[in-house]
Amino acid sequence: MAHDESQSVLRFEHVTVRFFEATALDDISFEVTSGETRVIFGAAGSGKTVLLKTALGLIKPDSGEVRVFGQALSGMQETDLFRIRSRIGVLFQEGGLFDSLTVEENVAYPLENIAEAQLPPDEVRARASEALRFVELEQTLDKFPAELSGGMRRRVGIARAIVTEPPLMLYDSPTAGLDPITAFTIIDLIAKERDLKNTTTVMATHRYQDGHFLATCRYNPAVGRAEPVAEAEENALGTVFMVLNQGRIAFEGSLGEFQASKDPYVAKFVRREE
Amino acid sequence: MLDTLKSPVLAVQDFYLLTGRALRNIVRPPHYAADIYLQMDIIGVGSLPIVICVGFFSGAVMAMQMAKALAQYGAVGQTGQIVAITLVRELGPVLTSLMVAGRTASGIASELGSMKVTEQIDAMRALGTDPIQKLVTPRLIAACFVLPLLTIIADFVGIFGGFLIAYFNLSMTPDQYWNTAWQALSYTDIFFGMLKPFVFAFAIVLTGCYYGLSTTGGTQGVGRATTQAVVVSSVLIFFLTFFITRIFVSL
Repeated sequence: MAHDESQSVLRFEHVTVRFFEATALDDISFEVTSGETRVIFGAAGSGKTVLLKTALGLIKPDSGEVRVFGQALSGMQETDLFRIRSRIGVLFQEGGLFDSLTVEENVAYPLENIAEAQLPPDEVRARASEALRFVELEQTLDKFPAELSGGMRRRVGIARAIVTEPPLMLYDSPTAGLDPITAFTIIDLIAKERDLKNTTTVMATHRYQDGHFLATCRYNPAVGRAEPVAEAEENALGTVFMVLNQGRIAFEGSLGEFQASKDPYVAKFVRREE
Repeated sequence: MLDTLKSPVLAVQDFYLLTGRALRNIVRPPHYAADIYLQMDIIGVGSLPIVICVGFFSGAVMAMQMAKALAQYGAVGQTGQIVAITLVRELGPVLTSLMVAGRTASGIASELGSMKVTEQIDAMRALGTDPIQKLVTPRLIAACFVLPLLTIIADFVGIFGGFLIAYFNLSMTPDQYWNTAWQALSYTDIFFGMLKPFVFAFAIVLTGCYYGLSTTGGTQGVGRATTQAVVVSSVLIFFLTFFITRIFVSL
């Protein structure tokens, strides 16, 4: 599906979220356009998870407005939010897989419960298998999440998120707590999903290499993995870097600007080659 | 000072919102019939052994204690009457509900609390399901249905426990015991004896669900939520039985 590049997919307008005394998001404004990849950096407690949950309408802002696919979330009933969320795939930090359901049931869950994505029962299994094949885990259909490794659980989480083929994907620290090899597999899958399906991608992370990989690599179906693109092509990938510091945007810009930033907090997230 | 007051007021507000939504969902689709049957099995069948055990021994103990007191007035023959009234009006509903509260409120709080801290509740909302509709309402319907049934069983087993004491220890005949027990009960006793567990079911399930869904702070938070759910639901049972009994005695 061709995307209008100027189309706003996610827009925060002066959004503030408070939990009693603590301010989790403080006057946040930014816009994610169709086809864009946005990598959000920040230390633990900087507001990355709250930002993603606010984008999903799981947390209501104290002030400001969140617009998803051009629609304002404020004042929406939960049932209306379900319609919006059916177009957003999300990978939670903890995976968010249902312990009591098998891998297949977890992946099929959106197809059975999201009204806009519901399919005939005989097609559900095929679509769930297809999504699991995408993350190379089709052999785990009958296993329970507790039987899987941390990396496999994240991959099942990705399969569940993409099974409805949403145009917007949110990833909350997809590589947190994983070994480097598994982390690479996850990021490679995120690039695969983004590049094969033209998905707008928002990823919160604290690992520089995750953002750098998405900004400099494109999935190549011929070889079955993401490969670096020429420096001149990097802009075409449309990756924007954003850094959160105590609920405020400390930085927003391209990879080059991110790497060149002199801000001491921002610089902590950049791994410069010596 | 204001902040100290804010927290309990917000908790009460959240509890009432949860109650309102859970009740509204009883008539609103989708209905999760399979979850209701599953919860009936977990709450009802799962609690049966402990309810039978507690019912039996409370009836037997009542018979022994009452027989001793009644002997002073030469009224040991009224043991069946006392056991039946005490069990059906008060001990049956309260003890059964306390046992179910200990088992079920803690189970619900820990299950929902674990789901909360592992982001399964958020995932549910993100994937088009209302967690209250899927998790709270089925448990509420199931408990409201099975708790009165468990109470009937506890009442009967308790009266039977009293009978064994009356027959073997007090040398009463079965006819004497069962006739006095049966005749002592009025329809009002039975109505209030069934109304109480029905009301207690709300207290147990909603308290367990409220603490489970408000869990914060990882696994430590789950433990805290579980303890609070059991303590608060047990206190609520005594609080509610006081008011229901107050209405009963004023009739």
